[in-house]
Amino acid sequence: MGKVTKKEMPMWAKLGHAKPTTRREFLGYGMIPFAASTLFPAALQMLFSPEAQAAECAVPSNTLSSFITVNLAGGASMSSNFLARDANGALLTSYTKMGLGNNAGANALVVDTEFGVASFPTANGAAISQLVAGIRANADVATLANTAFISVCVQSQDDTSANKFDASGLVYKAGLVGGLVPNLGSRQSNTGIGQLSSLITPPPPLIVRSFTDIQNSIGYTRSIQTSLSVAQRQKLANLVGNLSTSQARKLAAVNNMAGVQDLVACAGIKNVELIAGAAIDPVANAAVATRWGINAGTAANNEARVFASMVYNGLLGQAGSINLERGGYDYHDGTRTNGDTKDREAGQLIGRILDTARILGKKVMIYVTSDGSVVSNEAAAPGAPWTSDRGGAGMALLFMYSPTGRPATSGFQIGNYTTGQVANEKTAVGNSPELASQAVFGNWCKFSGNMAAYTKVIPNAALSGTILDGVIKVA
Amino acid sequence: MKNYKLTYKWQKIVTMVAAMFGLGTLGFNCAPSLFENADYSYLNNGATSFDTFGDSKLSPWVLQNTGQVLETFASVSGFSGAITANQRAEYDARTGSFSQTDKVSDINAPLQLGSTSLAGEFCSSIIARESAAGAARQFFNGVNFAAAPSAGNAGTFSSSIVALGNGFWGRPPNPEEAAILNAYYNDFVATAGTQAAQTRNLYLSTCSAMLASFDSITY
Repeated sequence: MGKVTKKEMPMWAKLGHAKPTTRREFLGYGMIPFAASTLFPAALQMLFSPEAQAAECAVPSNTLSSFITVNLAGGASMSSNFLARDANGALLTSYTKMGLGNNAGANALVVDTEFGVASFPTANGAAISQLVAGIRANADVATLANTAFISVCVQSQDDTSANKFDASGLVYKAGLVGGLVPNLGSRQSNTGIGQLSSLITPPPPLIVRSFTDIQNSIGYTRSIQTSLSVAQRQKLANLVGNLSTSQARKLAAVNNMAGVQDLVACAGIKNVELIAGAAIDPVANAAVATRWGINAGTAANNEARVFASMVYNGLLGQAGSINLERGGYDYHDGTRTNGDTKDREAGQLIGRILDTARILGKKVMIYVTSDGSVVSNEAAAPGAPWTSDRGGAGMALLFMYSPTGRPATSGFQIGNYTTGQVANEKTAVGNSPELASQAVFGNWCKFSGNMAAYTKVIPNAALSGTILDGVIKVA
Repeated sequence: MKNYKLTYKWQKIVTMVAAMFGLGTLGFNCAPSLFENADYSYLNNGATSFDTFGDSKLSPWVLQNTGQVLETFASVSGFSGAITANQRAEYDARTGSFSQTDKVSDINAPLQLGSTSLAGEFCSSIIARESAAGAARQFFNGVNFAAAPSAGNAGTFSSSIVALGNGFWGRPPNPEEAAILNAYYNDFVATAGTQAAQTRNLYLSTCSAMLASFDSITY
C-alpha cells in the first residue's frame, strides 16, 4: 500500500483520531457537518421534491442483453474443457500438460461438437469436458441449439482476486442497469466476485447470500412493514429520499462529489417505486423453479435458490449485471475426480442459466472466469490428474443465448495457444485479463446490437480498429 | 570508520534483498513468464471510473459501513450495549445492503431502504420506552400515543423533530428539513388523522426517516 498523503487522508485521520465508530465519537470529533440552507421551498413542493425528480437517474434498457459472470474461484481448468487451437486454428500437437494426453495414436482426441463449435474433447465416445456434460444435462436441446460459444485465450494469475476480469462496470456504463435492484454479487467486494474491475469500477452490487437479501432490498421489514400501510410506506420512502436529497446537496460544492447527489436522489425515487411491490421470486415461475430444482420450501440460503433468484432478476431486467461465484476450483489435489466434479457443477450452473433464458425468452451472455488454471502430470493418455497451478493455461469462456436463434459468430476463439500449451502472450489479449474483459465487453456490445456503446464507454480504447475487429467474434 | 561500517551494513542488506528477490522469482512457478510486465497505463484512456467520485479520500463526508450503522443507531437511540433481538435480527437481515466501504457513492436504493428498516426497529423501541407510564421522554415530549394525530398539534410535532434532530444529527432540522417534515406531518394527519393507532405510526415513520437520512448515516 502506498504512502497516503495528508491531502488523501480522511478528515478524521487528519484530526489525529482513530476511525470513529459511534455517533457520540463523530459528534465529539466535531465532524458532523452543519448543513444550514437558506433555501426554503414551498411545503407542497418538498413533499414531492422536484429536485429529486430532476435527478439524472439511470433508466433500464430493454434492448441490451443480460450479462452474467460466473467466476470459478481458485483456477479452473477451462482449457481442458475446450480444445484450444493454435494461431492457424489447428489443434495443438500435444495437450499433455492440460490433462488431455498427447493427441497421438490411440490417444488421438476425438472432437465433439456443441453450440456449433467442433472443439470439445472426447475419448472412447464419452465427453472429457465435464463442463459441457453438465450443460447438456441441465439445458433443453432447444436451448443448446440457440447458444453460441467463444473462448478467450488469456493467461491470468493463480489463486488471487487481483485479476482484472470483471466487466460489470463497463456494461453498467453502457446502460445495463437494474429496474428494481442494482448489480447483484456473491462476495463482499467492489465487483461482487473475486475479480477486479476492468477500467471502470461498477456501482456497489447488492451482495446476495440468501434469497431474503433480494427480498429485503426491495421493501421494509419488521416494525415498519407491520405498522404502516403500503401508501404510508411509500410516503416514508419519499420522506427519507427528500431529507437525504436536501442534506446531500452540500456535496455539490465538493470536487468530484456532485454525482453522489444524484445517487442519493435516485435511491429515494427508486424506493418509492419498490414499495409498490415486485415479482422477484423465481419460484413463482414453475418452469424456472423446476429447472433449478427449487420450490417454496427450499431454504433461502440454498445455492440453487440464491443463484436462481439472482439470474431470474437479471434476465428480467430487474437487476443489473449478475456476478455469481463458486469456490473450490483450486482443485489440483493429485486426482482428476474432484476437478471433474467441480467442472460438471459449473456446467450445471451454466446450463441452468441458459435454460432459464430460454424459458423467459431473454438474451443472455454468460462470461465464465477464473484465476489461473492447473497443470496435469505429463501423460500420453487423457485424464491425468491435476498436480499444481498453471496460470499460463488460463482461459475465459463466453456463452450467448438468443431466443431468436443461435447468434452468428465469425469464430469461436479469441487469441490462441502455443505449442508450449499456454495462451499466446503475443495476441491482443493473451497476457492481460483486463484487455480480455474489454474484448468480452466488445462482443457483448455487438451481441446487444449496440457497438457504438463500446467507443462511448471506452473512447480511446487499447482495443480499436483492426485489433478490435480481430477480437469481436459476434457477427 | 563509522561511515565504512554503515556502507558495509547497507551492502549486506542490499545483497540479502537481492538474494531474496532472486529466490522469490525462481519460486514463482505458478505464474507465466513476463506476466503483468506490460505497461497498461495507456488503458486509462478517458473512461469514467466510479472511483472518481464518492471516494473518501476526496470527500469530507464518509459513509458509515455496516457495523458503524448499527453502533450509531444504537448509540443515538440509547440502546448502546443493549441491542434487542429484533434490532439484531433486522441488522442481520440487512447486512448485504449496507456498505462495506466508506464511500458515499455506495448509497443506493437497497442501502436506503435497509437503513430505514433498521431505523424502524430502533424507533419502535424508543417509542415503547418513552410511552411507558412515568418514563422520562427525550424525543417525544408531550406526545399522546393514545390519541389520534388530529387531536395533537403541530407544536408537539415540531418539538419532537427538534429533539430527534439534536439526537440523531447533532443539530435541529434546518428550515428546509423542517419544511419537508412538516409537509409530511400535514399529509399524514390529513389522511389518517382520526385513528388513534396512527399517532404511533406518525412518530415511528418520522423518527425512522430522520435516523436513516443522509446526515445520519454519514460523518
